[in-house]
Amino acid sequence: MIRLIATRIAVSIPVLFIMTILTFLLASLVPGDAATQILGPDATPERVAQLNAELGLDRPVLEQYLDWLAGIFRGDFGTSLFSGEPVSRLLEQRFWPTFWLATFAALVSAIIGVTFGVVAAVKGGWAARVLDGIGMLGISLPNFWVALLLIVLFAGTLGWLPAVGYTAPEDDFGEFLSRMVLPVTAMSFAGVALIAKQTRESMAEALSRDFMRFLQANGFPRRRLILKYGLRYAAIPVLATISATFVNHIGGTVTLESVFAIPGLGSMVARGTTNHDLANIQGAVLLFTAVILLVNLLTDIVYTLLNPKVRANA
Amino acid sequence: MSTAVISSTSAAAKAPGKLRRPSVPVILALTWLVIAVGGALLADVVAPFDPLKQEILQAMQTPTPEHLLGTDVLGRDVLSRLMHGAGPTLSSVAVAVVAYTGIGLVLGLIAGYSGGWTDRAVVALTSIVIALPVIMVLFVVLSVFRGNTWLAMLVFGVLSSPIMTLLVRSSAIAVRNELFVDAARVSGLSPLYIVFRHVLPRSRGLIIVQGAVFGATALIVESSLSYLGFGTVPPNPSWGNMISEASTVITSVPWLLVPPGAVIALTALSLGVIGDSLRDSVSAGWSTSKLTPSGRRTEAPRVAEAGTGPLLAVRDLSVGYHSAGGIVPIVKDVSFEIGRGETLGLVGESGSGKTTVAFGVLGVIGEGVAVTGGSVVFDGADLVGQSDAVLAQYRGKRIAYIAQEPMVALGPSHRVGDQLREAIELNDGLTGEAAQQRVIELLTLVELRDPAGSARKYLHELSGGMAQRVSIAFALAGRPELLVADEPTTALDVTVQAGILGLLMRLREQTGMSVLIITHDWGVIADVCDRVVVMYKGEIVEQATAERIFAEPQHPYTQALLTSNPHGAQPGQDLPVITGTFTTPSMERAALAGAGTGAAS
Repeated sequence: MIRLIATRIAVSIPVLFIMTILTFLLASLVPGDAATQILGPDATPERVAQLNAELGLDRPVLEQYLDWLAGIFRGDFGTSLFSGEPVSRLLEQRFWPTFWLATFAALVSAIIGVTFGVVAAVKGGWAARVLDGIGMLGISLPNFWVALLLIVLFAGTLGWLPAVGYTAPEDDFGEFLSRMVLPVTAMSFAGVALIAKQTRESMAEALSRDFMRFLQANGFPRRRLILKYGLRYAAIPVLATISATFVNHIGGTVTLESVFAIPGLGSMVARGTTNHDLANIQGAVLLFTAVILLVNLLTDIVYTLLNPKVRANA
Repeated sequence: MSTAVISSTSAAAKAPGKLRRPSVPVILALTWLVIAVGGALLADVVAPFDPLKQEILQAMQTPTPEHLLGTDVLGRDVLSRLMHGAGPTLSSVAVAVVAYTGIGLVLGLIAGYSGGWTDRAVVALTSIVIALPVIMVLFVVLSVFRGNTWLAMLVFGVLSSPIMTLLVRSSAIAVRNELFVDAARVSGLSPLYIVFRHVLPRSRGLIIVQGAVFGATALIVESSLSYLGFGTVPPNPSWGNMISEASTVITSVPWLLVPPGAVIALTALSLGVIGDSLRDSVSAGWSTSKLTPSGRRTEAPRVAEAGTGPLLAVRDLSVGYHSAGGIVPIVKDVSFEIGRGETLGLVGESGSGKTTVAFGVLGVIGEGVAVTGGSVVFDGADLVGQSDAVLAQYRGKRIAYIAQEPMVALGPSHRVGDQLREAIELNDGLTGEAAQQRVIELLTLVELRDPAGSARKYLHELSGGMAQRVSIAFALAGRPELLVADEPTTALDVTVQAGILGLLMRLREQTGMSVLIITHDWGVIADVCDRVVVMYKGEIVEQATAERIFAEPQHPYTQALLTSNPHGAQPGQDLPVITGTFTTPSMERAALAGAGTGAAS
């Protein structure tokens, strides 16, 4: 098991470095643009050059890169080109809304998806076909469009829930929850579809194993066979899908946080992309990458815990 | 003897042709895609209005005969904007799909076909690229190359291509190892020719499926980018930026959200449907459940007073499975009895329906199969069609089961001791320390060398013989009156078969339970059975005491089966085999009825 984790970390580190190099290389292809952006198109070339020097943008890319890299190890992600705020502080503030959104959406997708999948596998027939249809729809609907429709219906017509905005849980927990409902729902659509489909396949496979018949014949109740032995058998592929869903949700936060005006990392990436605020994007993308790698690592650890064969060999 | 042999003329149903007619959803999906692409290509000709022409006076209309899909905030025709917006949207999706399939195909074929270090290098590269957060990279690209969705979608296709690469690679490896490809290689055909002629056609289905599904994903990603303002710049339309424009007026005209969203959803759905239908035709259907659904009857009718008649009385039991052409019988009108303390052997060749009879007795025939007639009366109560609640009083508690394949009989992910303990708690009412003690007691009873150590093991850590002993312990957990053993020694190593059989016989002596043993081994019959039932083609052809069966077999099939017993074979001679077809009781009845009607006419 330790070797497995070590392998995963060994792959993760180059991925992190590739991401940092990628962001820097791409940025270097259009030098000086940041200063022009800040000062506007009418700025004199001298002023642009001066600002570039102030921001350190006139130095060789490699030097800038190494500086930035060294900064990260001290917890310094540079300064936002626009607001002048330290990126590390922005990341800290904006981490939690995104974390809650992605986590809740993953939880909701997992609970509903696994339930649907188990029911479809056990009932078969029409339940499975309905699920197939819902699943297809779930991955075909753009989440931001679903989000807008939800806003029209639940915030507009029915007036049950606030349309947009975010409240931190420590400020007002009830408000926090009511503002999370619509974004989490919009985000979970595709997740539910994917997880339900995988659960149905894995569960159907579990039910087709001989041990189901043996244990049933020897007095194990059907419900226990489905919920304990079946779910346990299906756990690994289902878990992989849940983990992949979480990673997808992280990408989805960029669009949905923009729709719902949630001040998270996703909207920071969207804003930074519009503003050409590379320091912000670099910081946010790096943090996202680290979270994704961490989730993958955790998934691998749970795998080995779930699989007695791997555990025995490690 | 010659009268018994009947030539079989039942024509097997013809296998369906390879090309199946596309289903209705697939036709609808294809139609929609043709409309969408056609509308995009011919937008200049067929669009009713200029997509940029504003008519403020007619702004924000819901559909009218003139503007079929209404007008937007600036009074522009929505339908025309959708048609003109399809171009940029669909072309950038096409860029992503081409990059995805192209790179995946080339790298996958190279890696799969050449193998060796090339393969390892490609796999290493893909494993790193797969770990990249693709969507994040897109935003980095877009922050540098503003508004260049084509480039972004190209990058999306490239970075997603490892999935395709790995799929094509494994399919190429599968083809490479086939004989005809070897032959082509040896005969000096160029690798390129082999790849195009033999490898590529085999992977075609997979490539189309994966390409279509990826196309749907790419469409959603493109519209997200476009919605966020990184795509086609207004006033020029794209599907995504039309949603973005509509979102500014959702309180006043929510209708405007519908057309562009529906168009995106329909297109993505069509791609998904096409991919899915192809996937279904490539992969085999669903595996059937081995878990039997609960019956509808909630009270077991008393056929006889408990404790009076035979322990088990099976009457006219028929089992069949549902197919398109109706119910196909597997077991027909099977009747037999097992007395208290008696051991009955059920013998027949593979496919004779003996295991199905056992499942019918146990009430675990699985899904898609049904008892179509008859009764299984256990100690006076008919168990056919009973609910789980009723059967819970019998399964494991009074009737227990040992399977043919011990290595797949228990759950693979729980320790065997934990599962055995569960069986004890369920069937023997013991809990806590007492249940744990009973686990060890049972494992000792089945003569496992290290009972405590074995209890802590997982199934895959046991040998076949050990696993079968654990299965037997399982079956004994509820102190059953009837043990159904389905070929308990067949899957085991010859050296441990005798040990398991001996154990079963000793346990039968100790507990006094009745045993229904299914086998095709005459040696087993001779060793353990009081009476024998011979099955052939789903019917019983003969039943008698064990001595009588060996001394005077009546039915030709029994005689043939006895002759084919390899135990009696002479060294140096071919093993005897069963040839020809024999009559069964239902055939005889049909023949009689046919003769009757023939005489009448």
